[in-house]
Amino acid sequence: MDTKTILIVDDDADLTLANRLVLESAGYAVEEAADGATALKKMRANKPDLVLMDVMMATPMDGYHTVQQMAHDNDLSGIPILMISAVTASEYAAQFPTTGPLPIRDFIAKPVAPEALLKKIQRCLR
Amino acid sequence: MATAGTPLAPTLTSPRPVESELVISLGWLAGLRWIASAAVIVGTWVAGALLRLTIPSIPLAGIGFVIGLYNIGFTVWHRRIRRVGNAGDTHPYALARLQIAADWLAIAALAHLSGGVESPVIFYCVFHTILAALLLSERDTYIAATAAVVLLGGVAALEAWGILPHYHVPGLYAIEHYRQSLYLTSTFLFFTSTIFVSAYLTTRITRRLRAREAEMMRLSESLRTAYRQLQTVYASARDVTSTLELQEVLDRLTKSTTEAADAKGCTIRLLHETGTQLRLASSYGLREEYLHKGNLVVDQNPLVCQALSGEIVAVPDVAAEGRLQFGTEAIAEGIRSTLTAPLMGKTGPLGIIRIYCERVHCFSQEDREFIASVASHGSIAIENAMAYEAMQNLEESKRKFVLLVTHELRSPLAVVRSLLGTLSGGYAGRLTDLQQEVVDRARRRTDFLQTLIDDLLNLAAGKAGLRITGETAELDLHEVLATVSERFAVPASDRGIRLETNYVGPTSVPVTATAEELDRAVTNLISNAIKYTPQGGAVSVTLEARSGRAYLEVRDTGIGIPQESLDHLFEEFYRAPNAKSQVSQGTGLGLVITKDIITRYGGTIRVSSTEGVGTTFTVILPVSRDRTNRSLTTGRD
Repeated sequence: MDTKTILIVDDDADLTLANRLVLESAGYAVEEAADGATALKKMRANKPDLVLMDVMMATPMDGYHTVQQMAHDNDLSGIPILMISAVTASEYAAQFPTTGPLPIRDFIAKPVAPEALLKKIQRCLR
Repeated sequence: MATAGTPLAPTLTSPRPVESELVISLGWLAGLRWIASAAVIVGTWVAGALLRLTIPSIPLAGIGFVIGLYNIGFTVWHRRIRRVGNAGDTHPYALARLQIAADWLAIAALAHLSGGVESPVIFYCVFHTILAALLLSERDTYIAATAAVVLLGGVAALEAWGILPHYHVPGLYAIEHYRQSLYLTSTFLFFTSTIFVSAYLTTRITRRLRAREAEMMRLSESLRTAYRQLQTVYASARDVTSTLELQEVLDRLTKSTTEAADAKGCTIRLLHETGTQLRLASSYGLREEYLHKGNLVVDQNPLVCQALSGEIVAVPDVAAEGRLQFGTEAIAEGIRSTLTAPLMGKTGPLGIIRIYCERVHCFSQEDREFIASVASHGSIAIENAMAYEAMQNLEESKRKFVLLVTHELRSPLAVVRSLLGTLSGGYAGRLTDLQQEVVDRARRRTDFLQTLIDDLLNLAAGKAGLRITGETAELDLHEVLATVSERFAVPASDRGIRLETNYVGPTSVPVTATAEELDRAVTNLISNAIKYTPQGGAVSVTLEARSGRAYLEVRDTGIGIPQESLDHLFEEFYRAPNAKSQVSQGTGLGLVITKDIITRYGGTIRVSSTEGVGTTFTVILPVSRDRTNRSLTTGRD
């Protein structure tokens, strides 16, 4: 079985570390990007199997805008995305309609429980 | 505002009331003259044929005919005046003078032919004097009276001197008087005095009547103007206060004021926060080029200073006013006069409202009163709209603050929990038992902290009236309870507690709330019941709907609540002593939040408890009307 690559896009290095530990222990290859621009660059250089995207990042290009950029790029629009945010489910739903054109597969709220994260990722990759 | 703005006021284009009255009178006089003409002809025939008087019938009837003839001319002229109004040669006064003059000649001729100074026709001169006084000016009346005296006196004198023949009417007088000097003198004196006294009395009465008429016209005109203004003020006040959007209020004000004042345009400028400049907030009727000339600087603009101090400021002639900041621009725009009123708020000036006119000296005292009243009701509307806007901004900033705090507090805690989670889950390598124990303790404390923060934020949001948890909807309490109790099935059985749910009544119990809040309220009650019930106990939840209300009862066989604690149960951070000693975790906020939610959706919460026996919480919520009916109908099907 191929090793799946997951790109973690998060400006919080601590959270990235936690998620990296969980994902690597489950056998995934992990790439990191601390902002949207870097994420897009890395995606174009090496297309990941899934993007774990933080919605609110204190960078010029936050998760929402990065996802929009991906949707406009034919090479990147097919990559499944798992959004991750500190907002509650209903706030999230108001911001990201599931019926929209964005390739968002699912949403997971912070704090992220390791088991829940792995389960959601498995489902997104299926 | 009849005079404001219109280059030609309606009163100048149509005949003045006095003249239109004259035109009507002239018509009436011409009508009477048909009768007079007929009467002369018929009278001549009666006198000659029936009374057998020796009179010059043919010339007399001829005069009657002539009267009829010139009356045709007068009637045509009169119709023309009525049709084209008061323009050029159709002046109604000329027609009046000519009619009186023609009639004098006719009367003089009739008198001459029917006995001269002896003729009874001379009495008719009194009628015509009165008519002249009614129709003509005082001067013209005296001229007409003098003409009558000269004309009739002349006829009598010429007859007496034998220059004109005397037509004697036998039977009228036995002897002829027309040459008796005493008769002539006395008749002349009495005739003259009668004519002039009639003229004097009638003109005096007419003068008073005309003065009253003019006064009445003026009063009714000002009454009409006042009524129109009042209507405008009322309509614009109603229009303006029917919205709370500031821009909408301003736009309606400038539009309605322009229309009501019949002016070129209107602007509203509001004071900048610094109080040094006035920015254009709304305008009507003026070109963009003029409007975007720049802000009015208070210090450079004495007129604005004057207005802001509460005065109404008129600029009757823009070209002659040196104190204008943008005088040249105003003239280029075609503005010749302006009127400015202050918009005064409760705490000070808000700005100014200004109307513009294309003519100089355009604004009257009434206009000043009008703009003052527009400004005063406008100020109230503007202030209300501003207050509403400020309130909305405050709501928005409160909401943003709560969301910000939520994020700022939750984020780092979430990271800590995630990191601890990876340690505790062995994702960063296997831990020794001691390490595992320490990490798990840390996790429990951070979990509690997370709950506390969530509770606090929810409470703060609820208290601030903010709905950060989505929109309200009609929810089935039945479903909500089923979901929550299912969630607690495993934790309850883990602790050896029997959790049972009973439903009484309809299968659907619709209540209005946000899904998250209703879920939280039910969750709090059930989790409390489980938390404070020792192993082997039971938690029984019953949902019953009757008479428009939903009753949710959560009964446990737990540690109970001491009587003295019941009153403090819904206070922030309060925990009963037995709860604190027996169950370590608890924020003391769960019940406060629950009560807050239930109360906000129109419900109540009750508690009864016996220490050591158990506690029962009962929530009563109003059932949404529409759905009840529908579900009852469905139930019957």
